[in-house]
Amino acid sequence: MMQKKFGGSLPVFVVFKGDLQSPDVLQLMIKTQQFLKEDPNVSVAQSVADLIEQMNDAMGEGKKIPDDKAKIEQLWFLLEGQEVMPQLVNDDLTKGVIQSKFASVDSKNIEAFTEKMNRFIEENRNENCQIELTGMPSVYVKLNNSLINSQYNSLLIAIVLVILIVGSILKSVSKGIYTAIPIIATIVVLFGFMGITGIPLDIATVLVASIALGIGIDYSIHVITGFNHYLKENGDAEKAIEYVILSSGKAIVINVISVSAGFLVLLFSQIVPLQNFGLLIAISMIGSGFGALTLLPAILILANRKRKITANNH
Amino acid sequence: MKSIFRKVVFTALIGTGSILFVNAQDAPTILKKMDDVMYSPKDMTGENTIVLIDKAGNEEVREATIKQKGTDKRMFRFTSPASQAGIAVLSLPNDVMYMYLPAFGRERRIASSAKNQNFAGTDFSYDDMESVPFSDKYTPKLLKTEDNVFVLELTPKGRSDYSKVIVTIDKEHYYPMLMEYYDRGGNKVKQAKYTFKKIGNYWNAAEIEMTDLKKNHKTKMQMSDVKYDTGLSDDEFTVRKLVQ
Repeated sequence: MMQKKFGGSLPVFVVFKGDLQSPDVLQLMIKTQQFLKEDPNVSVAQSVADLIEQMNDAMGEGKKIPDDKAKIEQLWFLLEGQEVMPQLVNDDLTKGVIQSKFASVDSKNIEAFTEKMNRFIEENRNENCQIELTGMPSVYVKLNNSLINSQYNSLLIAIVLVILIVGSILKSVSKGIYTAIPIIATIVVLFGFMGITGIPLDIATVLVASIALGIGIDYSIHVITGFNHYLKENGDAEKAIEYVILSSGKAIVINVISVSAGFLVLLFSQIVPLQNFGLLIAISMIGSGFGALTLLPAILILANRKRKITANNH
Repeated sequence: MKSIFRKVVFTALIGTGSILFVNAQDAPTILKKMDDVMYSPKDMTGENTIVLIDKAGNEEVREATIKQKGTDKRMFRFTSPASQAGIAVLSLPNDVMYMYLPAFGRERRIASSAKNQNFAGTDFSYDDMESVPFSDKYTPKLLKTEDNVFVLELTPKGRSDYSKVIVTIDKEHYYPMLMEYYDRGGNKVKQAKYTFKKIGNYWNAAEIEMTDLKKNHKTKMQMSDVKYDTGLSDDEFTVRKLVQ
């Protein structure tokens, strides 16, 4: 509703550097504005070039930029007292701006838009007129790129650290890797879900994977330490799994339910990214709990059966 | 003895009372006298230099010639800088205003709704530029009388951008020295400092320094080569003359 009423939410600016009273620069501004407005997400765009066109129309010469610089200078004279002028041009008339708004907050639309605009600018800039796109969409594109990069890096580092730390506590690298498998599966499911439902990776949802990793790893650690304990007691892997699931398993299920329910409260939030955040955390809790109670026991039995077989052979 | 003393006190009281009475002119009279000083010439021609000073102190100079007849006819024509030379503004009675742009060779009437906008990048609005007598536009109230000045508070009678104007008037010659403009929120937004010089029989505003306190921008309007009562005819103030 806000977007319909106010024509968009992200301010977009196209800055022109050159002699703003020259017909070429003003015509280029008009051309840029028309190109902007072709995008379905852009509804408003204004600049000093609009005002010059309107004044030219008022002087009876049609709604266009006059070809004669002298005419522009005199139309400019009429505009000088206007309150809006300082927002559109600088004092010495070497910089002007097109003010516009972009209606979509979808990072894909934003990226396509900035790419398209930058291509247009590249084609149209010349030595008399430099053009630059600024405003929120360009910032968003930069922000998104760094979000995705940092997501890759932080996830990779977190997984390696989890394997190392759990491995060193359990004094076995392979056990560290076993522990990490359910949580890696959960993250795969999480990103898959985001992809299918079209939930964008933004400032809020970018946190989910790391949080899921942090909380979800607990379940695996509970299972694997319990398993080790019972395995040492009676030496039977399948029995040990049974014990673990009956004791730690119950606690894990209760924990999954309470943590998920807690985060699902965010579904009632007014802010969409927070709704997504709550939903995704709940999904990854259920995923990692489920993984710890099904995937991890299967891996543990497989790993220990091998050991049993080799033990029997000797 | 007692009665003599009483007599002395009594005469003294009457004496000071009458002096006070002489000095205590009412506000409308003072304002009327100010209007007379400002608008008594039958006509006036002169050279106008407009100096625009921005908040960084950069100056920009424009020059124009002014012709004025009575209080409600005025022709304003820019002579420099080159890009603005020839641009002219004609003000006629009843808020009628025309602007001429030589590059277009055509005049345009200015809407009265545009009159609260500033005139050509100066700190004067079109309203400030018009020479309608203050007594017609404002209801005065005397705020205080000091050694050399009267201070009046002017409240607009009709529609105005200002909620009030405080004007400081020279007690001897009745020309304005300072005008302070207040917006509807009661904040002081602009002030104009006047420097008057006597030319012939008339007092002339040799310089008006208008400061926009919000924008921290200043405009100095300086008059030179002023001639009064040269007998300008009404023909000087027509659209035909504007376009010439």
